[in-house]
Amino acid sequence: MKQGQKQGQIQVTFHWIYVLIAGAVILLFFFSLILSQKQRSEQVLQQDITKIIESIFTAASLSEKTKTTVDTNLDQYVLFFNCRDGQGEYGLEGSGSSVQDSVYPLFSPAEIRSPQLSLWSLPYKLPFKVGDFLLVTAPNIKYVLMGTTPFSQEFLEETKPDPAVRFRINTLAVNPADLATVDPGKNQQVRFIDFTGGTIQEGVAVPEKVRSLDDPTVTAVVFSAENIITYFQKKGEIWKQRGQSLHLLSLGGERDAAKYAALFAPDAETYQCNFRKVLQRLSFLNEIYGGKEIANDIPGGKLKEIIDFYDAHPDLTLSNTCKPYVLAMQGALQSHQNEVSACLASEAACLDLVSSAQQLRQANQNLIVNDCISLY
Amino acid sequence: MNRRSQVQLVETIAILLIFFILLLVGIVFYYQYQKSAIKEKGKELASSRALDTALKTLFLPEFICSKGETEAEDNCLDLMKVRSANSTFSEHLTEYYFTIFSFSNITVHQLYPEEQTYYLYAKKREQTRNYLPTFFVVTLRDQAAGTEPEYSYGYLEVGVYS
Repeated sequence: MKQGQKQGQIQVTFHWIYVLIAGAVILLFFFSLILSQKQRSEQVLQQDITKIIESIFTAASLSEKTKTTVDTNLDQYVLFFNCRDGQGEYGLEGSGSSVQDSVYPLFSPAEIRSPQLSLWSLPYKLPFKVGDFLLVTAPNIKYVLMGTTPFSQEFLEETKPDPAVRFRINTLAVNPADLATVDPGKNQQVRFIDFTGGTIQEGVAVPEKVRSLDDPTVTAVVFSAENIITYFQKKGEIWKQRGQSLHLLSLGGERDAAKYAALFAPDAETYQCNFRKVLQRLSFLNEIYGGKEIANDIPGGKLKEIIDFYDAHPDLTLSNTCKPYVLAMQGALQSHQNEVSACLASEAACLDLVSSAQQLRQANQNLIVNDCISLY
Repeated sequence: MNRRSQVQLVETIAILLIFFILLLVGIVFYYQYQKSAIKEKGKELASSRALDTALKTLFLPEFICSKGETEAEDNCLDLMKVRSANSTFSEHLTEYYFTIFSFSNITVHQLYPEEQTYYLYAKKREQTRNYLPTFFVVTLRDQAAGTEPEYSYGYLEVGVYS
């Protein structure tokens, strides 16, 4: 009897231990399943967000001269943007998924953390349209302008709050003497834009009220004479130059995309990287306009069709008038393509690209004025 | 006693068996659900890619009708550029234009006054399951057709392979 009781007690104990262990294992299994599903859902959500942002940026960049504000409600995420060796990349930091783009130029701060994004698309012409620049910023990034130039006035005018469009870029114009009064407030980043050419320099003290912000969040771009820009970043309490000074490849005029891109790009390297995308596209467009061998003065593409048209219609009065202008266009396009190739090979050779673009523009204008078939 | 313990053992085995059968059924249902969810997601991504590719094609500087320094004409393709685009796209397909168009087919169909087709870009996937075309009505400008630019009608077909 005693033996039987003891056996029964041991049996019951082991039975319950067995139940506990089995139950714990099953619970553990389901918990781990739930956790892995949660992680996977987070990843999928981040990938979806990245995909949606890509679609938004694609649509925004294609509708030229448009300003849009997008409510992303992503203030818990940081959007990163960078460009290296002609390859742009953007996405949610830490998500493992990003969009890589070697075609469409995008100019924005290196990081944005905001529930809203301001998108602005501007066409870039050199001299014909090469593509659209997408400028990305956020209302919690402050742009402080110093100096008065036609471009700075235009920028202030373009970024005036417009309730109809809901587009907003946070700008502030200050006198260089009042720089110390600039207060970042609740803004996450501050970008100083120096149109005077001399206020912000290497080693000069950063305004006192922005010293408490992290170094990468306080940056500056200085516009010197002759379309030269230089980027600076706060390092402790002074300004430090970031990269080399750059020459803007710009034909001037209103809403100059090259200048606006300089205002939004974080540094010289990113600006040049995005410009490389533009130059690559320009070389292919030159081939469509002038043919594959235009660099060797052998016309093709649209130019050849124009030449063939006037050759086939010698009876037309215009043929005699237009032929010299068409030949001048051929020379200008050849020169332009050679300058593009030289610029792609070495940045030092980019300076002549603007003058070849101006030549091409003049040649096209001559065709239009004389009622001839224009190249673009 | 022996019999009772044997019955209990069989009972326990039966419970465990039923549990694992239920688990297996759950896994099979989950697998089927995930399979159809992935298929739906694939269709959604393909539609999104089709729309992106179509938009990019419609606003391509390689095709648009420009007018000097003024704004380009909307929904207009320059036939003189379209005719030379194919060779440029083929020449730079792998290194550049595939990044824009991916696996797709871009064709311009002229309908009026004459019917003509211009094949601009075609890159088919090896194992294509779906073809999703998008159509846009466009005007086609030909400056070399006569003394004045001639406009014709047609449509742009942008089809995406998935």
